Amino acid sequence: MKNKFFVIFKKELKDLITVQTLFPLVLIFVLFYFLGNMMPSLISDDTVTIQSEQTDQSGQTSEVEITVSKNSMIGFIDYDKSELSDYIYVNLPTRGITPIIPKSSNPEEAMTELETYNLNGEEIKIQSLIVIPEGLDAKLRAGEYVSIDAYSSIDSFGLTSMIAGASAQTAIGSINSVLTRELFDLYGGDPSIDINYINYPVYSNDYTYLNSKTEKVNATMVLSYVSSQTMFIPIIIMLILMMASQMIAGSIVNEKTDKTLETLMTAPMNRMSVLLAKVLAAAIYAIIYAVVFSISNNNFMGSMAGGDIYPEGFAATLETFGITFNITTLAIVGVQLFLSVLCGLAISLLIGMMIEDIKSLQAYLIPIIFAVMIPYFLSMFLDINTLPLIAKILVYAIPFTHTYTAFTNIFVQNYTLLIFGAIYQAIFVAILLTVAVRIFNSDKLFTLGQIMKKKPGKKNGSFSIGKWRIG
Amino acid sequence: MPKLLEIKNVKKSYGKKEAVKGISFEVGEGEIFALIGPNGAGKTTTLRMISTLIEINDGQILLGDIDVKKNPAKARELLTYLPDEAGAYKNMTGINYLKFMAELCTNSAEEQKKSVDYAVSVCSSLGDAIYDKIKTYSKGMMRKLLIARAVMTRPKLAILDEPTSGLDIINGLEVRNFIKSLTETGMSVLLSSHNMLEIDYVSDRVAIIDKGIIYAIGTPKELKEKYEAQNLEEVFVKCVKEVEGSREE
Repeated sequence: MKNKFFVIFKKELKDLITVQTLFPLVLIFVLFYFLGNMMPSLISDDTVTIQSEQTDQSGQTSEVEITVSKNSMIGFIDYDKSELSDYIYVNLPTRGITPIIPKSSNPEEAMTELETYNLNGEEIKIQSLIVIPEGLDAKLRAGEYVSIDAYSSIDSFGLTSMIAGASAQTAIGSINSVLTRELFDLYGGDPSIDINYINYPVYSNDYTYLNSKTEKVNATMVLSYVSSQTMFIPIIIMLILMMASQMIAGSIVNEKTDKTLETLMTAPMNRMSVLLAKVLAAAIYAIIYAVVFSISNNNFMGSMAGGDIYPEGFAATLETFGITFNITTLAIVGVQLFLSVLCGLAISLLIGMMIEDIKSLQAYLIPIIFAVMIPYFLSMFLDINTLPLIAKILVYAIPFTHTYTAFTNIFVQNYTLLIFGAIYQAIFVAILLTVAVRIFNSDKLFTLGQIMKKKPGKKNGSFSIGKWRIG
Repeated sequence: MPKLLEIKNVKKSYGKKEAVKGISFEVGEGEIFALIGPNGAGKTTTLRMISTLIEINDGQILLGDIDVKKNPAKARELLTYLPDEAGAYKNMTGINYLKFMAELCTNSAEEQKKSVDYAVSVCSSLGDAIYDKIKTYSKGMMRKLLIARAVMTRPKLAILDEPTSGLDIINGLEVRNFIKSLTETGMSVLLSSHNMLEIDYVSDRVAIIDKGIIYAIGTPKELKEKYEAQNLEEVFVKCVKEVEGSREE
């Protein structure tokens, strides 16, 4: 006699593992397989091979090929042309910094040049520049602190930009580190010299290069500000999409399971009214949710910031860069957010129409949740525009991506992508809603279940759609 | 009796499966016409086609002078449909559900009020429970509410799929009597059931359907005489055997 536990266990497994629940799993597997294959190519793209001079123990110099991270490369302008500035240039690689000398000695021109720097035939983007001032050698030998201009370029607002934004600071730290050894030899026995000076003889004058403009402000501060103001947007989008998708698909499925849909569809009224009422109600719910969440989040973020932590003139600097949260900016993002919600609703609506029960609904909504989460995480960690072409196309094919990148595109003035994104989302919504309306106006809503019904005498778990047999 | 509904050689398939294989029948004004047959005979598919929920593959359905396939919206103004095992919005009260449906099915406040008043009188046996949430209703209470909803606008044709399914004897009898009384208002009723005794009691004419084919049409009395049967169950068995036997020959 079979163990009763296994009888129930088998039944439960059969209930859980069905074509409906396996399909999203396959989709998830394919998505992650794709991402898994994409990531290594991104990582390998982050390095570059350069020729470097190396001196061996016998003092002989030879040229060797070394692989360095693109983020470790910084522009290096030397106005001093002295022994110590040369010493800095030669020793920076020992601290993991690869200095590149641009053709132009004007910092702003150099930043433009470094944006598309040609290194051994490969175009790379160098986002930091340090400018060694005239008189560095003399000041250091006189025991004076020296300020070095550090330029950072911002082209996006992801986590990778934070790293790039901080690379000029890292370079200043490395210069201090390099000089400490030299200054220790110079002033080692002098008791009048402050040890702090030996450790940190140089400090930085921070400049940020954004949208072809340079302002005297720390890039990390700009990035932190933008991040603090926009980080909640993707979270809101994600939550709204999840909520709205559940609402609309659940609304259709509940009508089916509660057997109220047939009554509604035979009422003497336009079926479009039924569909639009459901979509609009879910959209309004999503908007209310978004507003409440935004207000709550703003209060929370405000309390975390503990008042104004930014220096005087910071707002004016942001305005110069074009980073302003004005009505136009918010309206554009609002439109994209609304379009994203409509995309989510349209997809969920179709899912709701095609499935028969709540259990299947949960399973079928998982791919939507992943489609929402993938661009969210990608936009957090990297600039989607820097992805390889195919990956970029695939990520931008997800309509939600355009809303995640809306603020970045506004702030870096990439209006083409912004407009394209909104148009793409609108077309996406229009197509899906047209399909949904057609299904709603046809008998597919009621006949799909019949067509997919198991045929008697066939193997358990199999069904057919037209001439196709599944299971 | 003038014709209200005319079904002409109607066919319906789900994929490769033929659910209805070319059926024809007519329903007169003020007539109660019943489709009887076992589960899976094609009764519900036929009712769903007439109620515009699903499209026919072939043939024609005329409701008055309206071609249901060509003008389903117009047809929906003349009919109501009560599906088998239909439900209602559980978080609404009975009265609010009736008001909600009246708003959807009528075009003026006056019509709405009339419809709701009539529906309340139809399900008066619910008493004060009409003000309770539907989720608290028993199956019998729910069915009474839904039948009231189905006839509240006094449609030309009420399509009732298994109207007494799941009801106990007393509630079943009450519903049957009510359906019988509907013809007094001039309403036609098309219903389906696999309960042949019920059909015998309530219907003016009957169509015997199985495997998507109508085997015989007539009054219960005519059919019983023709097949020398005591009741419609016997009629059904003899009729199916006769038709299948003649096919084999």
